Order: sequence, then structure tokens, then C-alpha cells
Amino acid sequence: MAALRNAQAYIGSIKGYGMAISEAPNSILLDVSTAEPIGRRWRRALGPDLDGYGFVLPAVIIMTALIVYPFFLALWFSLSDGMIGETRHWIGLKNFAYILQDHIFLQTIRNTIIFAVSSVILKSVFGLALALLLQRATRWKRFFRGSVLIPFVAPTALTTLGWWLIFDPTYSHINWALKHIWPLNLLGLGPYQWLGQEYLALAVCAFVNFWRGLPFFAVTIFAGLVAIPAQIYEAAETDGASAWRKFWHITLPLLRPVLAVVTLFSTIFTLGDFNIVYVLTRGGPMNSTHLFATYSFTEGILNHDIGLGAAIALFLFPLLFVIVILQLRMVRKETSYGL
Amino acid sequence: MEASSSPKDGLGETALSRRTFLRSSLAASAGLTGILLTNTPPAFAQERELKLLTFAHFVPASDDELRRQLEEFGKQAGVKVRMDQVAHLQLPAVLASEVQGQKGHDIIGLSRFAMPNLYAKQLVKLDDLVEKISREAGGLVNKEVGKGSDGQYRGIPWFYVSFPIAVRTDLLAEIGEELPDTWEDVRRIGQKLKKTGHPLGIAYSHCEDSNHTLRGIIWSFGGKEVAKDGKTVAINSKETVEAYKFMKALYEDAMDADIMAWDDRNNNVCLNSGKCSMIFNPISAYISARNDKALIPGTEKPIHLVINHVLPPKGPAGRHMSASPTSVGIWEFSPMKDLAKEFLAYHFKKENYEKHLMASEGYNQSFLGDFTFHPVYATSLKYYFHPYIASFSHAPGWPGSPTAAAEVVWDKFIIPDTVAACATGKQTAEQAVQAAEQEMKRVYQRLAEG
Repeated sequence: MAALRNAQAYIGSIKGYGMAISEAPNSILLDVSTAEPIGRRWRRALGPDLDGYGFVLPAVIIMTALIVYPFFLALWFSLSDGMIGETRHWIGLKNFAYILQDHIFLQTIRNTIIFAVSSVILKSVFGLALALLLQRATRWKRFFRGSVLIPFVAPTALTTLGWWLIFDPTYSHINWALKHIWPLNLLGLGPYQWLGQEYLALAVCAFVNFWRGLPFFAVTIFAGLVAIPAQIYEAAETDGASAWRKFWHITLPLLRPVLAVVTLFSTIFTLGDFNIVYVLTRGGPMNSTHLFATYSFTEGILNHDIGLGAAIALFLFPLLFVIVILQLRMVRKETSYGL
Repeated sequence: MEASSSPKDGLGETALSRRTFLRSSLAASAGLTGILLTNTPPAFAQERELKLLTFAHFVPASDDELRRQLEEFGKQAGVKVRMDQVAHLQLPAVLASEVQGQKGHDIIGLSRFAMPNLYAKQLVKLDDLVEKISREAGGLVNKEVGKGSDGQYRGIPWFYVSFPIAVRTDLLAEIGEELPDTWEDVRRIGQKLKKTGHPLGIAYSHCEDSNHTLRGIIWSFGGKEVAKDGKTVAINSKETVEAYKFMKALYEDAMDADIMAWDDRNNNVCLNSGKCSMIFNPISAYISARNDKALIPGTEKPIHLVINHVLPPKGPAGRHMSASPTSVGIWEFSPMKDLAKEFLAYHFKKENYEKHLMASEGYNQSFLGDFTFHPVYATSLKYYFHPYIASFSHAPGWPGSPTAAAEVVWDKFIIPDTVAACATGKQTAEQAVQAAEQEMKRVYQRLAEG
């Protein structure tokens, strides 16, 4: 009771609140007879950011419609049975139990891990190298900076078709070059079944993903490099630091937050890749290139077993969620240059 | 501050206040939400329109004729019409989204063999129309295609595409061989031709052609995926093991390793570029060689002149090959079911259906008896096989019906993958067949439970 009275007193004491607490004992009803117009009261209740809510509302509606709703729908699909268009019934985790006994799915997990890890490592290393080169470029720098973005901005399906012709099973451009162009022909290499041999096909898919994602790394890291204050390097130079020591003790530590974010996004995009595998191999040969997205598409759309497809697609979600939380926490800790 | 209508900065722009922007955004959001919640389009969008969706045909003239008929029908019926096409590999995804959303086209081409079965609850019953059409046109050569899981026609058997051998007759002549008649002939000739740099081309990969041809080999050796009931998995047999051993030998003796990565285009390219000596494919390879005026490498001679088609080879259990059947159906959720049915009746009138068949240059093969010996198949010696191949062609899932489970086995490429594992030595024939059986049993069991 005392708490209630204190609360009433507190509310009543708020200057300009425009409302009086009812005198009736034990009542928490507000006497609105002397209140301001409703619109203004709402405005006051929500604080000074009412306009802000209005501005974000369309985005919230769109996000809810296009992200939140499909996510929960997929979750429901994964926990229910029935084909596409049929009435669905709750079956708990049965779809997940089923895919864990599916050897193609187990192979898909392995493929996805190899694909994502190798591709993200390549993108990190070469993305950093490319960013450093871009930073050093003094002539034609706009041209170079624009050019490196081409693989990233061109439609993936279209560029992958180009790669598909390069790795074509019968008329691979690379095999042709290995056979006909000097001095490559002296090496006696090839022909290789780029898309017909299991590990080679997965390597090709990872390579194309690396090619497509490299600009994202390079440009983002480049932005991080530009943001590092020049005084730090000047101070290090005064102390006689070598280029390697500057890179190792200044550049890399200060780029860590950028690297963490870019690696996080790239890991998520890479794990969800679909186009590259679908165009190059359709999951073959012998399911050696199926990723979560392609296998989920096969089961969920082609085979109409939408519950199974959703279970495959969502399988990594808990793990990804934890990775995202940890990585974002790390980023928050390290966003300052500590000067 | 209200929106000002006065020009700003002399550029004739209207200043947009924050409040106007908010109001407009909210109004647009509310309108969109209303449309989504009530599932009713605004009045201006509610025009009567008959919509047809099919896959982009390999002979585009066939689609042109279909569109012409639809437009003609639309004029007669006084409705707007629309025909949409998507690539054949994309059609299942589009149909799935239409079923899920219960919105979309009215008439749909069911390009996958099991679609009438799979979507039985979503498709209009068409028994009366099928009965009328087949009665007027000499009956159906296959009575299973188009049937739903309830045994009723959910799609009208439209046409099928068969898989003969497309073979380079000049290369055969060079090695003194005749046209192949049995699988052993194919192997023997293929072995010889591979040595001359012209291998045989059968995909052991994730593509439709692979699924078709490898089933044909298994059936010709007496193997089968399922029993006649269409439910009991019967792949693990002595006959199937023999077929797998044969396919391994065929790969080693007569083919190149690139077939492990082929898609549906590669065998056409291999034949028309002059590399391959034989492929198993619909006549599209021949038609594209002719249309593209492809030449025999190193000569000025058009390659299509030396390509001929032969009936699928005989195996120990006879001559069998898988064919690709297409049906046409009407969505149950369509608001224009009657009109859609009228259009199908119109399209399947003998004179219209014939024009469609003719436009495909013989690529489409009819399920209707009266069209089996149609003159279009006599327009070229290359098509002589057409009237006879129906007797040896089966829909996937044979000897059972083309069921949803058969489609899953198809889409998971269980047969091509296990054949490839055997051919590359990863598994013995027995192990590969066992792996196929295990995988198929899981699929059939899941669908039976579902």
C-alpha cells in the first residue's frame, strides 16, 4: 500500500504531467478530466522520440513481413508434417531426428563446413592483402577500387554461369589452356574433371564463392585501414618500427573489430549460399557439393516436403545464433582505438 | 508544418514535411496490410483473366502455337488471357509457391511426372474431360500418367518426350558397324569409337537425362525400383546388380570421365560439337544441330545430316526406356475453373491439338492413340522411331505408377549417384544397389507415413 502511495505521489509530482491522481483511496485510476488532448498525452507518454517511432514503423512492418514472419513460419514448418499446401500437424522434433539419420544430410554438413571455412579463410587472407594493396595504390586508385567490386555487384547466377563455362566438364577453358598455351602445356597437367570429381567440385564451388565474396572483404577492410589514425604509424616510425612490426602491432589489432564483423557477415552469407552450387553442380557429383540451402531446396521445394526442407535450413540456426552473439560481444569490446 | 506546395530552390520540387511523409508511410502500410489480411486485391486489379503457366518449351514454336490458341480462346470467351513461362527446372518451385499461397495461375503445365499425384488435393478432377478427349482421339497409350494419388485424373496427359539413341552414322560406317540394337552392341561399338576419340555419352550425374537413361538400362536388364504396387521397393535384385555392373563396364570402356559432371545440355553439346558418337536424348539435340547449322569438325558438312535416331537398345529383359511425361491441370483454388476447363477442351480438340503437335516438329509425342502415327513423324527419316517408341517407354516409377515417392527418389538422384559410386569404384555393384535400396526405403516409408 505504501508503495502504491509512493508511486501515486511520484506520478503526481512529475511536473507538467497534466494529470491528477484520483483522491479515492487505493485507487490507481487516473482522473483525466483535466488532461491534455489524447494525441499530446501519447506524445508525452512515449517521450520526445514519437517521430522516431513513426520513421521506423515502415521498416518494422517490412522487417516483420519479410524476416520475422517467414522465420517463424519456417520454424513452424520444421516442427510439423505434411506436404506443401496440406494441413500441417505438430510433430515436434521428428523432422530433425529424421535428417540426422540421412546420410546425404550428414554429407551436407561436412560439405558446408569445408566450403564455408575454406572460403572464409581465403577471403580473409586475400581480402586483407587486397585492401593493403588498394591503400597503397596511388595511380588509377578510383579505377582499381571500382574494379574490385565487380564480382560482388554482378548477379551471382550470371557470373556463376561464366565460371560454369570455364569449368565445363567437356570443354573447360582451363583444361584447354593447360593443353594448348605455352608454357602451361609444358607442365603436362590435366585435363581435370573440375566438376566431376568430388573434392575438386567442392573446391571449385568454394573458389567461386571466394571470388565473389573477396571484394566485400577487401572494401570493408580498406575502410577500416583508412580509419586508422596516421599518428600511430608516425609514432611507430619514430620508434624505428619495421613495416612488418607496424602491420603486426598496429594494423592487425586495430582492424580486429572490422575483421570480426566482416567475417561474421561472410560466414552467414557463405553458409547460406545457394546460387553457386545450384548453377555449377546441383549438389553433385554424388552429393559432394550439397550445401544446406541446396539440399533444403531439393527436399522442401522439389520434393515438396517443406517441413524437412525447413528443418535442414534451420539446423545450424542455434549454432549461428551463438556465434553471432559471441562475435558481436567481441566487437563491442573492441570498437575503440584506445587512444 | 504542413507540406508546402511552393517550389523550392527554383527547381519545382515540392517540399515534403516529416508529418506528410509519416502519414503517407502509414497510409501505404495500412493499405498493404488490409490487402494482405483480406486477401482481396483492390477493385482496379479485379479483372477476369485466364492465366496459364508452363515451362519454356525446347521447341519455342510449340509455345507460340499454345499462346495463339489461348488468345483465340480468350477472344471467343471475352476474357483477358495470359500465358507465362519459366525454365523447366524452375517450374516446380513456382508451382510449390502457388500451392502454398493458394494463388497464381489457373491452368498449369505439370512438367514433372508425379505432379498430378503429388498435388492431387490441389488439382481439379478431370476424369470427364480425359474420358471425352481420349474417346474422340483413339484412347490413351498410357493410362497411368495424369492420375492423382486417389486414382482420378488430376491432369490431362498432354505429351511425352522419349529417349532414343542419337547416333553419328558416319562414325559407325568408319568402323564398319551397323546401328546398335542391344546394350551389348552399344558397349562394343562405344568401346571402338572411344578409341577413335568419339566416346559414348550417358550422364552419370545430377541431371534429368541421367535419371531417364540409367532407369532404362536397369529396366532392360530386368531390374526395377519398385514392384507393380508402386509401394514395395524392389531395387535390390540380381538383375539390378547386373545392370550396375554393366554400367560400370560401359563407363570404363566407352565413356570419358566428364559424364560425372554433365547437366542436360552437355550431351547435346558433346554430340553436336563432333566429340560424342552416341547419346541418349530426345530429338532436341538433332533439331538444335540443324537449326544452329553445326558442322562436323574440320569439314563443311552439317553434322545433323549424319545424326540418326534409333530405338532404345534391348537388354536381357527386353527394350525399355524412361520417358518424360507432361500433363496439364487446373488448380483447385482457381476462380476460373470452368473457363479453364473449357480452354483445355478447346485445346484438345483434334484440329488444335494437332497444330500444337506440328509446331513442336515432332518433339512432343502424343498420349492419344490417333496421333501415334501422325504424318509429322514421317516428315523426316530421323523420326522413324517415333510411332514405335511408345511401346517401350515408361513413366518413371514403372512398373508402378508415377508416384510422389518415385519423384523424390528422382529428385534426390539416388540412381545416378549410386551408379556413379559403382562406376568410379567407390562401391561394388552390390554395395551401390544396397545403398540405393536403403535410401529408397527411407523415402517410401516417409511418404507412406505422411
